[in-house]
Amino acid sequence: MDLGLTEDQEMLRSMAREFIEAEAPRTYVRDMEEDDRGITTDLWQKIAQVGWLGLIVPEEHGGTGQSLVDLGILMEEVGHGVLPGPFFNTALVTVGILDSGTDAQKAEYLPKIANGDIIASQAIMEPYSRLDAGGINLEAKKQGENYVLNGSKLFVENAHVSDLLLVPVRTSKAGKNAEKGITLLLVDTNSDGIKVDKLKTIATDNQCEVTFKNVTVPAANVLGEANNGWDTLKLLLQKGASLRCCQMVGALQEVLDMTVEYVKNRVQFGRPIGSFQAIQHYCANMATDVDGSRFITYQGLWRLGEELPSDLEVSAAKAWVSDSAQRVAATAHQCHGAIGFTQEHDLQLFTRRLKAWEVSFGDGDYHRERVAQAMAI
Amino acid sequence: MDFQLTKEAQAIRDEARDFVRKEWKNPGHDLTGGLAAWHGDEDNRHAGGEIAKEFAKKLVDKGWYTMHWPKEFGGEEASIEKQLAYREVMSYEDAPASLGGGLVAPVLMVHGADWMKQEFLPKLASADIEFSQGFSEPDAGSDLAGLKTRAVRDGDDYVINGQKIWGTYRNDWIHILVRTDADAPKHRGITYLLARLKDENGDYMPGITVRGIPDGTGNHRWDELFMENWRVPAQSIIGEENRGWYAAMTTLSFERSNIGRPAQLLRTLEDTIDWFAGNSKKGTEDTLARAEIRNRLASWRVEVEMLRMLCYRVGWMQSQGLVPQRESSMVKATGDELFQRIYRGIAQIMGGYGNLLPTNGPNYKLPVNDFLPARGWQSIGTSIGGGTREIQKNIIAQRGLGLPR
Repeated sequence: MDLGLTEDQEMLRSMAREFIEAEAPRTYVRDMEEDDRGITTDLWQKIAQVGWLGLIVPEEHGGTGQSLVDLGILMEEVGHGVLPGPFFNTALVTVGILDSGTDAQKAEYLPKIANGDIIASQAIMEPYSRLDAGGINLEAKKQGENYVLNGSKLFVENAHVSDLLLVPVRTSKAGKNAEKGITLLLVDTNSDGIKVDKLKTIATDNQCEVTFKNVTVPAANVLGEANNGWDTLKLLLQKGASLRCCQMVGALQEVLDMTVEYVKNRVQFGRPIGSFQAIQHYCANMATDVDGSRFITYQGLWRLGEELPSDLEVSAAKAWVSDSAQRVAATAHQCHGAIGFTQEHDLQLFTRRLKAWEVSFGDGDYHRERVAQAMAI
Repeated sequence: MDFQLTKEAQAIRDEARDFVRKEWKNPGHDLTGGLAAWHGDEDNRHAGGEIAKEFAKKLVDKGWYTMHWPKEFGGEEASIEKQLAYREVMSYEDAPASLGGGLVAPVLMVHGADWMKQEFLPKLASADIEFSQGFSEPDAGSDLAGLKTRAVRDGDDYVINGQKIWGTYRNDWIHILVRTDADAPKHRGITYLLARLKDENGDYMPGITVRGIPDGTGNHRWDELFMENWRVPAQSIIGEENRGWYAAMTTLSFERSNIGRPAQLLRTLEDTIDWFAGNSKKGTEDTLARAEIRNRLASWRVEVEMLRMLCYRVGWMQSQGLVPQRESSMVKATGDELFQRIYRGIAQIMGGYGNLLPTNGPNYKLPVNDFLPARGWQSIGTSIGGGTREIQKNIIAQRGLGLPR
């Protein structure tokens, strides 16, 4: 058992923190909330240059071939700094291509992702907003060597800046078993018939609706097996949930640290409010939630990386982190009083994103049902 | 990063699991529930103690009972990871004993006089002796260092007057904290003694009176100990006079992740699911098919996993030579609350069955060896004994996060 980080991982973490502090400080985060793209090309290129986009890409394809846990550590820092932009999505699509792509697809996409030429995102949810196989209904009809797509995807992060979308579609009608007939496609967003509309959200996290009207996708762009894509998608959803947990853990740690700092310095009744037991117990609860979130998260991610059975562990992590994130954020606001609720204060930057991430890749209820299934009840 | 245990730890886990399944069958006395251990009448309680001892002796024969002790005292200095794996599986398998020596052994190893080490460490190692603990007093609970039981030196003896509470003072010997200097700052006037409570015939020493305290259901759970001019030889001191507080805080680096808690709770959830599944076969409602019940059971399972991770973190820190503080308090506070919510929650879902005592006979089989509702009731005590939830949270906030006093 070793729950610590290696020297290399410590270095990855501290360099990531320094990078974000220098290149994407809170002022930048605020600027990007007003920006239509949500990230500058300059920052994206720098992210590529420091090697984040190629972190898990094998050396033969222009990356450094590091592990899923390494990516998780980086994601924790991305959450800690509320880094704007499509890093999460691009990384997740990279994971998908690595896990299920053909040699040709890897050779085609991975070098371009690693050097920053391609931004990618996953387009999974549809207007019914379901994460199970029955929720995948975007129609794709085989015509010769192509699929023709009609329908829409909803809550697609950063679709408006993406060059590539990973899109699960329905290639044969859902019969009794909705898991049959799903195919994953890699879709070039420059294809004719694709329309992207950005939605306004509490988190300003660039959620989009993507409409497909007679969009032609070559059959060579099938990721994994045609008609049998559910297992591939399920694994991708698990990795998405687990990496999202890492991002949330980073944000939660910062929320806790920010709050502890505040209650040490905020004076009322002639003493720091952090000396009051009510506040101390709030902070103790927050710290326990954050630490519990960290270790349950990394257990799941590590198991995924080792290809061990991880249904229960990953869902337990997302269920716990989703819920504890809301408790921690709410308690942080209570400790901060009115100021934490203002635009001027940084706390709201985190609270708004934690709210969005609560439901991303499944909320607590969704994952508790999965845990129940893993417990054989 | 590696969440898997070492091969050595996995080996002891598998071996211990097989051993318990072969050698132990819970006879209906609830021996593993901590607080529930003393549930029942005096006969039941005595019988339970004997059965637990019999099993502990089997562990002695296997060489497991003191695997955590230093080699100097006959142990094998087992790695933290091995201890953790062993304790986890023993709790999951509902074994009535796992590692021996309790909190007293490390204290004696470090601070005990030679005669104490010679007399008691072998008996602790062979599961032949247990000590009563005399710490809490009516006016010294969370503020333990405020204890008032007074010991005054008279020739070669201390003469002791005062009262202890919340222990079970039925053993021959007691380790006890007393005040020897009333003028010193409170932590510095305390002396730690190892004294005879009963003589060779099993009668209490002159000056000792013990009275039982029943809990709300009428079951004898604790005792009060009254000391009136009780004479204890001065050679009974553990460590030095007036330095008893610090001696009593000695823990050595034995595994103390409290991993037994999540293991026991996991077993409880599994037992409960089996119980409901069995009832639905008998034609009663299929409770497990109800969405809100599935959600609650899964929620508890999630929390057990989170608690298990907090325990593993404590064990891992210890294996790195680090001393967990706030990390242990997180385990204690979280585990206590979860224990309460799980047992009370399950008892609620069980409806009327959730109020049955374990003594209604074979027609009333309940989860966890018939003890589930009883533990729900007794769980009131988990967040009080051994350092209240509030004290744990103070430790996390003040020592862990550096918040001002």
